[in-house]
Amino acid sequence: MKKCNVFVLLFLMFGLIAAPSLFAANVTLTIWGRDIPDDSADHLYVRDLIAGFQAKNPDIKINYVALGDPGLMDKTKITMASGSGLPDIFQTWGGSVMGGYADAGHLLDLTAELKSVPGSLAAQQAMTWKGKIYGVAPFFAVAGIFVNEGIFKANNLKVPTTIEEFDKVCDTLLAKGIQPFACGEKDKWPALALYMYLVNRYGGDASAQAAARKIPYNSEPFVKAAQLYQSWIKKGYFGATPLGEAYGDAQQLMATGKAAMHVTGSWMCAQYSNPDFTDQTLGFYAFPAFKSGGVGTVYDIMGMTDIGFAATKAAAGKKDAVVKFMKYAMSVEACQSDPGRICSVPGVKAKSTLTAQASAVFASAKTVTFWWDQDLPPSVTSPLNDTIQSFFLPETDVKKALTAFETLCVENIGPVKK
Amino acid sequence: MGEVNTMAVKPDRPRSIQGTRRRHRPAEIIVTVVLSILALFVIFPFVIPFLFAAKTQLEFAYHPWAWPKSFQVKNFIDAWKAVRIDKGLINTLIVCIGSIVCTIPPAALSGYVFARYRSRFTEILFYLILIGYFIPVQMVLVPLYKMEVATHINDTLYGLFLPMAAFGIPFWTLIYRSFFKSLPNELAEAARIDGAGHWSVLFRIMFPLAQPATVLAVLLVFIGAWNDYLLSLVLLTDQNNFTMQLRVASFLNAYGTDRMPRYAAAAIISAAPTVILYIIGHRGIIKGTLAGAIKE
Repeated sequence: MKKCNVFVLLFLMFGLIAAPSLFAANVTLTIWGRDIPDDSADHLYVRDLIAGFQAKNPDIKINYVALGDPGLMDKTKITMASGSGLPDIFQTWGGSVMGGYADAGHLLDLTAELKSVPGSLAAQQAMTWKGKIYGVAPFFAVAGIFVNEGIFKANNLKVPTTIEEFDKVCDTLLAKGIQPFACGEKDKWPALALYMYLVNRYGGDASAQAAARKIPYNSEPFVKAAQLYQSWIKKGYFGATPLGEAYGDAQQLMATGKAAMHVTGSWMCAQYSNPDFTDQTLGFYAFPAFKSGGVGTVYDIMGMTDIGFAATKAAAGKKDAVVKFMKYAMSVEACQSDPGRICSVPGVKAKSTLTAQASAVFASAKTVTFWWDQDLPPSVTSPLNDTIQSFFLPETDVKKALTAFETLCVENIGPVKK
Repeated sequence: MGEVNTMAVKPDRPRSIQGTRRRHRPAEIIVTVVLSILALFVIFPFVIPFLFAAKTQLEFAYHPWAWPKSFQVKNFIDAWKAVRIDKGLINTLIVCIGSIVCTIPPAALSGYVFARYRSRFTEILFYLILIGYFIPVQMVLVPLYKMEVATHINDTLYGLFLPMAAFGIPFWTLIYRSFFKSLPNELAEAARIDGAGHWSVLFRIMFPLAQPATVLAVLLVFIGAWNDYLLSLVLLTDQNNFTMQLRVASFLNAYGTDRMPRYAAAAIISAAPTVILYIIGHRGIIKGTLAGAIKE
């Protein structure tokens, strides 16, 4: 009996010594991400995703590298160009940028594994390129109008339900010394969302047709939208010096009640609901359509992935671990820690009124158009933002600017097919 | 015109100075005012981050230019924690020292050879090395990364400071060459007459005389390595190897300018070591720059 006890004791001792090595991580996933996994409100998802996955999968070690933006994009571009030293998973918005990496043969096809993962169709489409799924998008961003409810109430104004109503509302606001729209056009890209909406409202799926080279970028919907945009700029709806304001400045204008509306992505929901960031009461609304003469409807939404992950060929030998991570990233458990983004996973409740409003806009969407500067080939995306920025110069002939952009598209994407 | 007389009175020096001051007072005032305004342009960017970093986000949003109501240490604590300055500092120091060690001795030696042993061969060699100075880092990033992956030195600190040295050597060779050329040849000849060999002339005569250039090189290579972002971003992947600049940039990029107080705190933390180093070594930098310039 004594002998038996000794053996049991020895076995237990061996077990205690060997246990850590037996249960140690045998697969390491290197993930390049944008956010630092700290306790900042908009970093909580990434922080909890890593901690939660690690706790559930002790055999898989996560080596998460936070690179910020543009650090992530720059590093990814160079490693993809060299084709070596790739991470297993990287954060991406999908679209043509991810598509370019897929075309170069650097991404891992996960269509069979991720096809049935529950999530919104738009989010899945953003991570799909030429019929193959390369990752997941647990969070989706849509553009809409952030409205300062307090300013509207104090001035007896109603949130415009048609584009025609904007002029009256904006003129009233201007008369009261309030900037109607915050924009941040110094950074170029912030003006895109509103232009995309105006083009859609004039010409429906004109952008898809132009990208498919069925119509040119200087066709009627694009020109009309640019003319309306420029007329608003000339009237001072975007402030006296719109090109001098960066996106951060636009946020401050909204946060302090100096601007009444901001057409931008729902990623701002967390900050615009945060009492440390703003003491104003803001609401989120879908961008309206024309009362008459337009094609696009209020249910045509502009947006794209907010947080997405794609896998590379470097992870081909650890596909099971990658799929486990992707599925966990799309789980209710992982997603519910985010306080402000629109979740593409069913069953995750919005944590703020703003997010709930933005989620409702997303849920009502009949079509979703991806950001042009993420979905068009990279060779034309910077010139696109430059062209839109030129609308802010009063002397710009928008038709000529769009014709110049169309010429560039002919050179880079191809001529319009007749 | 009494000022001319006072200038002529030699023993009464203080009065003569006073007289000179009286004569130039309006000009001096204008110059002082102009220089003070110019100084403000330099000083203001250093003061602004402190003004921003001391505020809460909301206070900054409403009164960005006002004096802070209270000093928000939290911004600095958050930035410090996220940047993990302890790890970043050690890595950056290793990279800086490695960069100095691998850049300056080869550059000094080759600069000396190209200045003192001139022949058609050394001239061709010098211009070949100089080509490296005209190649921008961005142009070779992809092949450099491929080469590092192939040789398994990517994601190591020496894999970072070796390319830094490779990019720095051509420039510092050029500087050392012009510096050594400016030194009188008679010094080396006198030493040779006294029985000194090539190495003795180099190490006992020439290198000590090149001290201003070396101080300048050490400081500028250090500052260059400290401030590097692009090479570190591309060549380092393991977060444990991240340098200060990479950590700060990741922090700034993750938060953005929409959180200016924290952004400003991180900017102060990242800039502090190089500012301190410049304050300590600015005499050396000025001396080194002028020494090369005057003797040229």
